[in-house]
Amino acid sequence: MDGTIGSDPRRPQKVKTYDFVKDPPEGITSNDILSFMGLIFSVLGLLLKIKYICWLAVYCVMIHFCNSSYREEGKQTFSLVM
Amino acid sequence: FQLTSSDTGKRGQRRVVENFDQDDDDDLDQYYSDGEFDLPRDVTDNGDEIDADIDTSEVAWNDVDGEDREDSDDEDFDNPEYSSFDEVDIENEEYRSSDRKFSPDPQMTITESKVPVRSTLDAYLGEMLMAVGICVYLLCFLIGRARGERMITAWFEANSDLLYENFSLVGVKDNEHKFLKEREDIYRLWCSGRVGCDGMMFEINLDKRHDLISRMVAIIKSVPDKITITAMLPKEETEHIVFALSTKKQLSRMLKEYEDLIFFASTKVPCDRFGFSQGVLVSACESQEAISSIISTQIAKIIETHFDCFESLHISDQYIGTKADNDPEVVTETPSVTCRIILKLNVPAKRKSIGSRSADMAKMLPMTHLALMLIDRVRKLKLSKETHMKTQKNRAKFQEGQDKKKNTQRMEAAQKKKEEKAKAAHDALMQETDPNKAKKMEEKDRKKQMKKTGVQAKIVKVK
Repeated sequence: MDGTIGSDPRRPQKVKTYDFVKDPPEGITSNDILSFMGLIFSVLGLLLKIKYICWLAVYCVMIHFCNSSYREEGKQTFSLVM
Repeated sequence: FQLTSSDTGKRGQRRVVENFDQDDDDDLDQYYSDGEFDLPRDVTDNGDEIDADIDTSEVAWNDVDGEDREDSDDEDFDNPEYSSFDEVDIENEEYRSSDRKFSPDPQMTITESKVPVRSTLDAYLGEMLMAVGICVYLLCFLIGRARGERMITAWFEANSDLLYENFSLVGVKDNEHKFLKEREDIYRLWCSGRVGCDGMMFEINLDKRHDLISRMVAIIKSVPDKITITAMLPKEETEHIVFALSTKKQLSRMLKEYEDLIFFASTKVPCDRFGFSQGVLVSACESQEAISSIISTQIAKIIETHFDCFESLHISDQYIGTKADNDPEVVTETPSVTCRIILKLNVPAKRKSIGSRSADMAKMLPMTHLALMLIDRVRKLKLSKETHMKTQKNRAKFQEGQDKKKNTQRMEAAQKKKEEKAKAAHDALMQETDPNKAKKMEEKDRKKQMKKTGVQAKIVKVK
């Protein structure tokens, strides 16, 4: 099985560098929901002073951080951690 | 302060109390502790003394040998005489009615106090459980990520020779990792510099092994690892072709999603003629002539033998994405038309519950061969004149439809702008407090309106 043409198929002059192909908008992903829940739990935890709500916020932020994209701006994650 | 001891004999304590000045406590203590003071005795009216029927030996007095009253109490506790007191049951009926004699030997038992002292373990149990949960999640994250990276390297090692033979650039320049890590479960590899192809993108979507929650969900409903191979073809070298090949169920979903398939690939063609087994795959295309020249027996054989890897094949020179990608509310620019070959593959796993392994990734090499063969077939495709003319008309209609869409979007955007401007002017007018300024603004508006209507009036006269 040979997928190439007899001669060398490579064309160095036709090389195109990777320009981040504009990914179509993904819409609301589960990661966005998690970050939103983290925000809500942290505010509630502070206001109501309930310990376990704060722990839930910590969990949401951790899971959001582990699943976030590398191209995402770090600001959102930083503000969540704060 | 006056105190006369001689008075105490006849009138008793009450007279002594009368002369006593309450504020002077120290003198009182001094007075009592001198020892002159006789025990208070009850005196009858005619002056006879009544001895109180108290057995003094029973009651410890303060001034025995000059010691403080409290100390003597403690010592007496140890005194054997006290040990014979019986425990007295106060609620007992007999006790109340009887003459309440103290039993000679009281039995005082000191029981241990059961004050609930919470140990640190109990107090911080909740925190410990939460911390353990975090450690378990992070451990699963590290293990899952390492497994994902091992699978990616296994795929790359199996395919690297073929890629270096066909492309002059593999991976992003000066990047020894080759892969672009989009997320922990999404890896991209870009290859470029080949005849008939501007570039080829390998996108590997792994199962989320690093996320504990996804692992639990995967127990119930397993998600296979997916590889999407997208080849970008040069527009000028590509013939008119819109073609999709997949299983029935998947194809009907594609025909609803992709805009180019909706417009061009209206006819469904069973693929039995092209060497596929009965009714497994169905294709939709613009012209049947294109299918027979693309789907050769060799390609059909590869797809048949690796049918568990194959998900769908989509070749189009009018590719603009799916409907969701071009939602007018989300995307304002009009999508650009590109020529693409999109080959979607699943990584087969021996047992679904465990998921695929590095060895399974290495078996995907034939599918990379398939993608390269499709590029060469599309590059060599030559349609007959009639089909070419027909496809040309279709593209003109399609282009018109796209232009109309563009215009309507532009007009809507302009309309929105106008409305916002008018609203802002109206708000400014309403908030204006100075009557003169308000008048000026109103006049300005009226002039604008007149201008608009006035111009139209002039046109009518000239006719």
